[in-house]
Amino acid sequence: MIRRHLRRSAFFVLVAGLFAWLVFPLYYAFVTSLRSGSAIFRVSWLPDGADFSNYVRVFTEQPFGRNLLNSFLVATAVVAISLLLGVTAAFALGRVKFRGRGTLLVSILAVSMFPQVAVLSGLFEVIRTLRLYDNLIGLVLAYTLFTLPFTVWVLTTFMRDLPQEIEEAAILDGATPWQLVTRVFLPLLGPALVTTGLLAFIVAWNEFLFALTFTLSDRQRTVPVAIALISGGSQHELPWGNIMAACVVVTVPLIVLVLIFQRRLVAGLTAGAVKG
Amino acid sequence: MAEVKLEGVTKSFGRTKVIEGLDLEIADGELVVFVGPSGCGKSTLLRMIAGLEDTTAGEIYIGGRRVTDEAPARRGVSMVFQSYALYPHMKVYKNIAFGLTLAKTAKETIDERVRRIARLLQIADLLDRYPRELSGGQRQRVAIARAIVREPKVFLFDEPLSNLDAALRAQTRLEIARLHRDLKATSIYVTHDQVEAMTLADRMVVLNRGKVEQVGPPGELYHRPQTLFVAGFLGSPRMNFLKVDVADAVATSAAGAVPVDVKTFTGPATLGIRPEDLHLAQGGTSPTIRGEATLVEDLGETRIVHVQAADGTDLAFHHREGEPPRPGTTVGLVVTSNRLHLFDADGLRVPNT
Amino acid sequence: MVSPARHNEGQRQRVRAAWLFLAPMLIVLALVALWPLLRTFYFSFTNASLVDLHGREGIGLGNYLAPVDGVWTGLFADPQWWRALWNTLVFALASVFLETVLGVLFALVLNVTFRGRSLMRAALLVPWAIPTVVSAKMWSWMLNDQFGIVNDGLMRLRMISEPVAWLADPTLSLWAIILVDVWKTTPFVALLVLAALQMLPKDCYDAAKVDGIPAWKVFFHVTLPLIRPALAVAVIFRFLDAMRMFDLAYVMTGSSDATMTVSVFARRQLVDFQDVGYGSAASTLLFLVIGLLTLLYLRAMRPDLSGARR
Repeated sequence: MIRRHLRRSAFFVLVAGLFAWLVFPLYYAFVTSLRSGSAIFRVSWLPDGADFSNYVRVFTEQPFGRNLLNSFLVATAVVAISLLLGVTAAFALGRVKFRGRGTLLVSILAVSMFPQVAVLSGLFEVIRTLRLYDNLIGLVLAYTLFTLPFTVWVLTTFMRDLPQEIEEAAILDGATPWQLVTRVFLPLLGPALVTTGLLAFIVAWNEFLFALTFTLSDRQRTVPVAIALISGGSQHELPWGNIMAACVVVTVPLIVLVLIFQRRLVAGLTAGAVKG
Repeated sequence: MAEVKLEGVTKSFGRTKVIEGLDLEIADGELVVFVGPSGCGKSTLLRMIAGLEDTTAGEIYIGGRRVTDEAPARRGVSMVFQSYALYPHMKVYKNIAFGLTLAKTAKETIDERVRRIARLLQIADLLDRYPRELSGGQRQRVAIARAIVREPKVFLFDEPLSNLDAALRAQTRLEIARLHRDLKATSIYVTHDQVEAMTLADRMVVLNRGKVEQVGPPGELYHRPQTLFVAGFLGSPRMNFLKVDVADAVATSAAGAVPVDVKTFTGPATLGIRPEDLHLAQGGTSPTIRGEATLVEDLGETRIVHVQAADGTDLAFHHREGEPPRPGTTVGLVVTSNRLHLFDADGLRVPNT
Repeated sequence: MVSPARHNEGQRQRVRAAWLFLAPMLIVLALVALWPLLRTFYFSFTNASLVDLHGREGIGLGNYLAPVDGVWTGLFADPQWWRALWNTLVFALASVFLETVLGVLFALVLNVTFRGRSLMRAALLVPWAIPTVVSAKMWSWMLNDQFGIVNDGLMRLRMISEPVAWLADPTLSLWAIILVDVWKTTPFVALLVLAALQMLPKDCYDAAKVDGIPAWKVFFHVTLPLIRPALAVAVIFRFLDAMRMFDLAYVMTGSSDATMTVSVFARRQLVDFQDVGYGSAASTLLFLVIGLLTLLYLRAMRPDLSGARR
């Protein structure tokens, strides 16, 4: 009896510890973001007061609003393109048998896994040739490098799970492959599209290396670059209040989205790996 | 007009042959049932006729036209699937109309046809519902309506009743029979259920390992099975088989000796006796087969008595009147001698002489 | 599998359509992946500079290893390159190992039914959803030597007597970065493992319970072998991701030698020093190292990545 009690308590201590480990950094960023001036340099474990001046300063001292808009536009465009090209490709890879399908699938997976830095100079040349340097469109193009393979991969697993007989019924009803995709599969894939789109959105929203390398001016930057480059008077005096406020601003909408679509996201995240 | 003809049709996946050089002719308006154990190739054959599977060799003709290389939709066939395969995101009306819409049929024509067929299948009041809002039986009717609306030359049914519960299955079976009587369209029906096959079929095709065992009306297949396989496949409880040696028109085994109607055949053979053709020896009749009763199953209308014959073979027979033998007691059995089946060592029927 | 079967018109139309459907994706991927990759290979044999990509000359293996005035130059003779490669390998191996162990622990906890499980599951997604740059900044602040809450906490617990310069001390900074990576990506491993755990057959465990087999034995002899495929996949994904790590090191410690990964090294050569040839050579080598290690891993573990099981 006592032993069982002890085990239960130990388990809950473990759970509480893990929980704290997961959420503490975000909590502490929030606490810090509400303090300013010299108060910031006194460690405080609990929130003390609500001073929103950091939030005001983030938006006034640099074009942070513009950066947010940039990130939003880039991520949205990347999602749209990836889904558009991804659905048709996923149909081909998931439901049509043809020579070379397996090789193609593995190559696509390989593309999503190889180091971005390996294409950095080549991609730089492409972007400069297309006159897209320091341009959001250039970023959109660059981001398809990882969102597109990933979208294709996840949608292919979802596509494969759709019932065979529905497809055959449509074929007998005289549907062409294009009609099959647009009028039968697309409506059925609705939930999968939301999941995949959201995952691609998060990837694009969070990307740093390309955004840092392919943009130059403050007004073309995306949020991660803007946050990384927030600096104060000198190297050693970073405006931590501003930075934490920016972090909270960027993170909160993402967390809300993620929590709303929790179950679907997990399904999408594990679809490519576990079902295989 | 819409007869179906298969010529040397073969299907192989790599080196495994699923269907081997199959020939078959189906007359216009006929309802033919493909039946056989799972894996016998019956569904594959149906899907080849539909065009959903490629044909490795041989030719398929529908209505006198060679369709082997044609796309499924252009063959003039429609299919009812086991899982109904309704489009979940379309209402019943759109489900039925989809094929016509794709064919760019005029709106008024579509509307007229969908409503007429909905009335025929008694689903007129369901047209505005989604498939998920329907019961299994209703879904099945919608699937049938969708098949009919395109006015195909040939209907294909792929185990359409196997997802329904027993009561509904019997009812839908009757409806399909009625529908076929009304529409008189050539139909091919695949099932593993022999009751379905026997009740629906004009002719049955028994398939085994990708080959046709026997083709014919249900009664003929039941009463005159040409192979051991067909004999064992049709009928429940299944036909009793005794290993025998035939000489001078008598089939002899350790269980007893049974006179048979063959004069010219000698050698080892299998004697088939249907459970309804085997009876307890009563009164003065001397038993031809001896054994020990092992189990009595009471089904109400009949009892099935299991007997272990003296040679170790398990036999079963119907027992309708009187006291059944108690398990453990020795029983003597007689046969209805004009309904015996004899198969040679290759499993082929030995004709009566 | 492909027999010289005749395809009917419908099947032929499907295969034609399939290629047509794949074409846009393949074109885009050729433009952003294949072509740039080949160009990077090519640049690595030139002295191209970022200001003037066109005014380049082929210099053979000059960026890799070549004698110049009797001294070996090139990446293979560059101690900073070897340091970067070492850092990358240490980072990848340590973080993936810790993430796997912790990820399995998280998954086991979340596989137990308890009150607050859904809250815990939601919390698991928090580090995963936070942008890497943001986590780098949050942790930099927490690990700040003078005002950081980590030092404060450890001093209150009397585990350290004076503040530690987590990010400035070259012996600690790589481990600080590993810590942040573990925090951020353990949830990914945990989610994959949890998904695998939830697909395990229940009766196996009931049988073990009836037989009175101790829990740890069940874990090592039943659970672990059963989740091994999922674990193998998670590990390879994480490893490939860790080998290309850039953001954490760049944001938390700039270009300090102690934490410089190959990605940071290559970008520095490419962008900061404008030496496209040298940077491309480093990128190419990273690509080859990752490719080689992946092949070795796939050989050893044979995880089923194909997903083409139908």
